[in-house]
Amino acid sequence: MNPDHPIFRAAISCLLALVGAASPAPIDQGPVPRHKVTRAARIFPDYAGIVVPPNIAPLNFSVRESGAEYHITVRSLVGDSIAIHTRHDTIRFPAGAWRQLLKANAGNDYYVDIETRDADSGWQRFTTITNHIATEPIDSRLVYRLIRPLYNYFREVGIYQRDLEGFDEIPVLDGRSFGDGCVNCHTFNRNSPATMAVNVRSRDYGRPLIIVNNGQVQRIPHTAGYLSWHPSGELLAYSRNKLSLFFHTVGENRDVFDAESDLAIYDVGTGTVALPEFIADPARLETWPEWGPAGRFLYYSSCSPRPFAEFSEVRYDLMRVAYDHPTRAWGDVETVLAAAETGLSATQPKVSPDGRYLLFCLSDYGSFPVYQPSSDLCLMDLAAREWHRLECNSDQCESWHCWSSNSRWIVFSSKRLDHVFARPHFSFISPSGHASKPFVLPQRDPAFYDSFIKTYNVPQLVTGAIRVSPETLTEAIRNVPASPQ
Amino acid sequence: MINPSLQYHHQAPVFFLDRVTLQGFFGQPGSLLSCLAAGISQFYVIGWMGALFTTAAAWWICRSTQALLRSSACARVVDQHPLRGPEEPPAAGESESRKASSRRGSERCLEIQSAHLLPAMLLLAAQSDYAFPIVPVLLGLCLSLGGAVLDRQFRSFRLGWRWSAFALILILLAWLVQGFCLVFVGVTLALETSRLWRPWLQRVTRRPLFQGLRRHAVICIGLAVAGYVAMTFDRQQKLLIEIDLMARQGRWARVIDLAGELHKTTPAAAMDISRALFHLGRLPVDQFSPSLPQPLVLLPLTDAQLQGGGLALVDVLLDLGQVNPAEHGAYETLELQGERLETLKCLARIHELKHQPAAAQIYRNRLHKNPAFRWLMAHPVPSDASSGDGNTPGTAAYESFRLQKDYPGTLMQPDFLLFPLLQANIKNRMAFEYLMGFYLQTRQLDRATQLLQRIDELDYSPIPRTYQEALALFHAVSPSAQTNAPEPGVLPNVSKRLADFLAEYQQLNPGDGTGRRRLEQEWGDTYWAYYFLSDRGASASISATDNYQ
Repeated sequence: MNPDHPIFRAAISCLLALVGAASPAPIDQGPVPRHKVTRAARIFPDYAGIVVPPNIAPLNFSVRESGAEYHITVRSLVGDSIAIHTRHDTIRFPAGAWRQLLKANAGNDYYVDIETRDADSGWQRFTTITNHIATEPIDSRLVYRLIRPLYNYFREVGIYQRDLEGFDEIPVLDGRSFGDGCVNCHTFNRNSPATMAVNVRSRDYGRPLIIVNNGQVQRIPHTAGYLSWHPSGELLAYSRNKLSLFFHTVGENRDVFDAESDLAIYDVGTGTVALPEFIADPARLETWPEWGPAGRFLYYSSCSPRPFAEFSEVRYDLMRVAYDHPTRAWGDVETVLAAAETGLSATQPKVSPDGRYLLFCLSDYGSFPVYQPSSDLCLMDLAAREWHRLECNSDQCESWHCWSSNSRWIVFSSKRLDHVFARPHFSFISPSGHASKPFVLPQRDPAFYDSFIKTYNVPQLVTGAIRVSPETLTEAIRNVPASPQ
Repeated sequence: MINPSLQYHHQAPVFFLDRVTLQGFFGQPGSLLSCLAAGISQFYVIGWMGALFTTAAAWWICRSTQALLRSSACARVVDQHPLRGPEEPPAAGESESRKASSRRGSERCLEIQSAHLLPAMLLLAAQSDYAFPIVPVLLGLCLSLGGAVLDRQFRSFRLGWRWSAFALILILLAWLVQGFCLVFVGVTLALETSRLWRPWLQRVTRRPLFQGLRRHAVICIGLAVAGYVAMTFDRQQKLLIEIDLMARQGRWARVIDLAGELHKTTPAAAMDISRALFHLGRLPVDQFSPSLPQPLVLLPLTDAQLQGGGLALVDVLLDLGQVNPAEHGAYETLELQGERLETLKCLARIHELKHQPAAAQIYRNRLHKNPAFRWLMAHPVPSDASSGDGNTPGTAAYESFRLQKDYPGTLMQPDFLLFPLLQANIKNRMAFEYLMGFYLQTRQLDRATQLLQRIDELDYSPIPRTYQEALALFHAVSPSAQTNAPEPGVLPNVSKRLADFLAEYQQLNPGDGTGRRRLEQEWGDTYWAYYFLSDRGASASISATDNYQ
């Protein structure tokens, strides 16, 4: 096209205007503050006073303060600052500069200066926001299920992996690829993307369990419940539940009642299932299996069965049973935390990869904390057997937690933002077992959560990208063995 | 006859101006058509704009078809000058000869005169069932025929250029509209081979039958289209959609007017009609009226009614004050029907009522990403409800209606839903009338009579006729209630009419169809006719679910 053509020139002008509106400007072009505000600016998501991994994607945010212009500076001890001058309240940091700043300042604080210009009062500068950059990185991928708040029916259910160092999200398995199917309880072995198990429910292709082991995809004809890999990768502990969904007429609508449950051990190599009597006791309900990092203990939740009418009295103990993998011998069962002691129900035990801490949910009752606003995350020092509620809890539900492979970060689903949709939050766990203020999964568009009506279910941290393609997984699901004639 | 707003209400695709939605559209080749169609479809919410688009598309299809037919069957000046570019001015005096040649060509191709009207007319007529995905089809045809017209413009180019242009248009169309590009290929092939089939067509059209048709082409096409519309127009479907829309807008009187024309109903429409009756204060009187499609559904009594209720059921539950079951229904609808505007609006309202303003705001933000919704917000439709009919509960009324006590369970049975509401607040008139309606519909006269003992607390004066009829009937037929004392609240003429009815009914031979019909005609608007003569009893139960997330 002729560069002198008016349309060409108009297009170039528009493009330049668009780029100029949100591009970072050199620091020396910033405003001269005239007025200091003695509070921090309101920003969303709340990325103030947090600890961040040195490899996290830019923490873009929107400034929830009125203004005709905004000037944001991010600085730390080492290297260049990042300055953004814009007329919009949406602040997006350039990925390269952000990465450099975090990498050069791991272990230091970084500061966010926010200045706004009001038509009446001119430029005003808010109190600087101070965040800390941890030295320990977080695992690079987050795998989660995206669903709408579901009741009895489902159409759009998919598992996705998100690059935590950037914003790319790609599907791992979409239920629509096999006829509006459901996929759930994706589980990895020690944060490795190479070993995965996922349950599938499909009208057309049955209810298989799909196992991925170092690129090999295996279809087990029958689905399992909640899953946990033995560190050897040879065994899968799983629960067999008889769950029913019921409803409340006030407060949180949905609830789950577990009428029967046992644990079973699936041997991946031989395809056999074992039901050791102490974890498949008909007189007890056992659920939420979790192997310890060394594979010497199997942790789980357990309680005595009660009729439905007493659903609000059901409270689970935390238990563990010793296991010697070379000899395949089971040891003694012991109570890790008794419901009688807490008066609450303990579920979803997760041991830190260094074996030091046990992270679990405590809720008023029941086995399904995601529907319990009372559910909080608690941390137990396994050596001292002392536990406390983590500082990162809110008045809403926290559940579906997962450790990073270096035991310093946790991710969990929290409904704190709006009380309905679970969003993944990250928190730093100090060596002494205390949690930093959590922050929500960063998005390219900071207003993303303002209109996103899906919930992040079962967020799991993994150390790299899942290499098995959605097509391969779908093919395995569709590959229903012919029934014997 | 065709109302674009109703088309929108019935079949509008999900469309939001955000990255996630657009990424979903652009995920595969050909999805641009879906994206454009979904975007354009949103404007059907404004009736005149939908009509404008449909008319413009039909006009374009007409013009394209006409241009293509002319270029194939008529003499073309460009054929005489194959190397001349389209922008080259004609030689002096050539213009007149071109016009003359074109006129001769037109005269020679009379056999196809008016045929260009046919595709567009049939497409327009095909909207008559309100279920035709008209926007993607119109758009796909417009683009494909537009491509074919464009391709014809390259006829004067050298062969290599022509083929290059053809390939470029084909690739573009395949990416844009995928399957519809076959229309372009088909039309172009037909035109390229017109020298082969034109003589045959001319021979065929010289036959006397076609000579007659040729003279009356417009009339023939008009008759074909009229016949098509007559055969496919689904008046009942239109009524159902309109009832749904009117109920959403709170135009209760219009709902009842339309209901009178319905021959058969769906669970959602039946719930809308019942709700309209309540809001007009006519439910206790007209619940069993033969002028309305019977039986009316107050709340689901079967699994089919539960699943077919959709947003109509959600609205009823919300009006009653059962916010949690309404939330349940709204999320089921969202999952099954996708992100329709009405569902998102409903969910925003539910979360507001549940004191979850942040969640409500998320739904409102979602809605604001839809251009049609933004327009609707700026131009709200006046409803009967907003004029204040006294029966529509506002947010304050919900606060007094809503349950404070939890009733955990899985059932959606009417009495399970309604009884706690009355226990919480006997002034909940809708819960009262619906529970009474349920008892009467299921012929539970003892429970209805028991409930009527509390009617004084609801300021009915006098007691509605149907309730009086139920009381009188209970007094007459129940052994425990048979006393000589008159039933309080029942007017003497009601008791007398019941006596007359029972006398006639007792004389009726069970196998006498004519007598039964006569009785139905005479007493059809009474509860007694329903109680004794109707076989539309309702007692099925809804099964509990055992699914979980």
